[in-house]
Amino acid sequence: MTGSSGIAQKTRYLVEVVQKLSLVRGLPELIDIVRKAARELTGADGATFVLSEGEMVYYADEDAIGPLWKGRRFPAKACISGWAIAQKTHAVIEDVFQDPRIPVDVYAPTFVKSLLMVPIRKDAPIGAIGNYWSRNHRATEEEVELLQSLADSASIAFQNVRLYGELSSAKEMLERQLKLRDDFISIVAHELKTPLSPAVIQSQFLKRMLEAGDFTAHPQEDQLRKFSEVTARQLSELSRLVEDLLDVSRISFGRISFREEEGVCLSECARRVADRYKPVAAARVSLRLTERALGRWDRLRLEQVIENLLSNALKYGEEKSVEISSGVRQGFAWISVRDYGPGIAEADRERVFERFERAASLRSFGGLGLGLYIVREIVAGMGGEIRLECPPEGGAIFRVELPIQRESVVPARLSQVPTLV
Amino acid sequence: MAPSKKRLLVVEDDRDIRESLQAFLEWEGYGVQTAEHGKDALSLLADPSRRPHLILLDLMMPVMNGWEFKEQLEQDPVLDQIPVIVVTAFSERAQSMKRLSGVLSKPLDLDLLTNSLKRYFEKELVE
Repeated sequence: MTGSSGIAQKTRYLVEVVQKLSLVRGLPELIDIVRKAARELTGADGATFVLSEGEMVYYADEDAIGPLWKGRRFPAKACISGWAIAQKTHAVIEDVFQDPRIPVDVYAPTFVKSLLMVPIRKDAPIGAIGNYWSRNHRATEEEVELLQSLADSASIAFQNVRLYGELSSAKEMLERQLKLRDDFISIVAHELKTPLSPAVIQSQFLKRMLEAGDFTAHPQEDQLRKFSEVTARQLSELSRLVEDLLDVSRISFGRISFREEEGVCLSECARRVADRYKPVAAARVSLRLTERALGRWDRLRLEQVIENLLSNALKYGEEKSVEISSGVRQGFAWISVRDYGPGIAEADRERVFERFERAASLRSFGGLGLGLYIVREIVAGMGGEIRLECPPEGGAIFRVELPIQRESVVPARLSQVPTLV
Repeated sequence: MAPSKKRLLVVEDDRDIRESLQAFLEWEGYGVQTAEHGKDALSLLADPSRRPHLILLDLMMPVMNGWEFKEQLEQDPVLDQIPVIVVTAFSERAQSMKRLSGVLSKPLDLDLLTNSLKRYFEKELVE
């Protein structure tokens, strides 16, 4: 279909193209349809699809008897597509070498003698469609109209593509969130079962012994003592898990609260937490604490932060030593927890602070993946900051800095993401 | 009471579970060795004189997890003969594992455990 076929035939062809464009879901497909249709509609020797990129124009694709400028970028001010985009109107040029808007050196190597350029979307152009002839040809009104109609349809298709893209990425995000939530539920179930396991074994064992009336193999008192120890330890582990889950929900709803009091000592908090870990890890934990690091803080939340960091360090620190240090400088108090484990890969250093995330394999380490998220939110709520460093000699250092005096009561900076739990 | 002299190896990283299981199984009449993770268990298995008749295996463990440990067993024609019962809170994740003698879910029910062991060793006697 070239040359002077009837207007009816061309209109039919245009309708076909418009129908095809209405189904387009991606930009490459859109460009491909438009570049071919642009040439076909007017019977030109070449067509280009140009995208506006601010100061530049990008010749995205072409369909022509000889090479034009596919894949190249030009300053919008120095070319005719840029002119059509800026002026929001078409340009008809019968002799490209006679028109001051045409950069001669760009056209000289090509077959082009005449051209027609129309903007895509007239009110706020996003690009342009070009038609080119190898002979001197003044584009007719009919040709201008046809090409402009194609450009208008392309503009609607372009909007669709963009909306579709936004929709798919929103859908992907939602699917990822749902997957995270499902994984999380399964991890929560596992984590809640873990402390239940020893308590269930102990109680069933005790019941069997009582039923058998047999306490000769293991003295009754020993067994009872073991039972109460295990049960108490696991119940407090269960409470901790439940408390973590509640904290996450408080954070999500922006309802985490702080009970601040004067004269709370950061070093003392660290010492108390370390004392709690003495029965399991006395030999591994060393303290390098400054004498006094006083501030107006929530003591329990502070201990929660330190406890989370310490238990992580002990868990991932490969049985090596863990150091807790503290200090004061210029209105800030700081505490750091250092381990000598494998450290955290560069790529994971941001991620570990997110909900449900962990740097280590779930197959090797349990846990809800909430500890560092809670820590970061509490620290932020206290007006402080947490940083992670992985020194070249190995291990990880988590360093928390807290302002000693807060200017005023600032509302806690809490994530406003919708809750998943 | 279960047949005596049957030796079990409990591979479990949680100290409370490990020690409780050991106490209970010994009370039930089994000989019990324990390991904290897969690597620990492999070094115990290196001694042929102490090889267990059955392994109770947790899955999620540091250093060497249960899946990795099972793969190591499969590499060795002798160790691969030792029956393995997986004890896990993630029982659905044990489905991909080959030739298990059983999967028990946590929290462990001691009736189920003793029944599985008895059934296993009785079946062995019949065969």
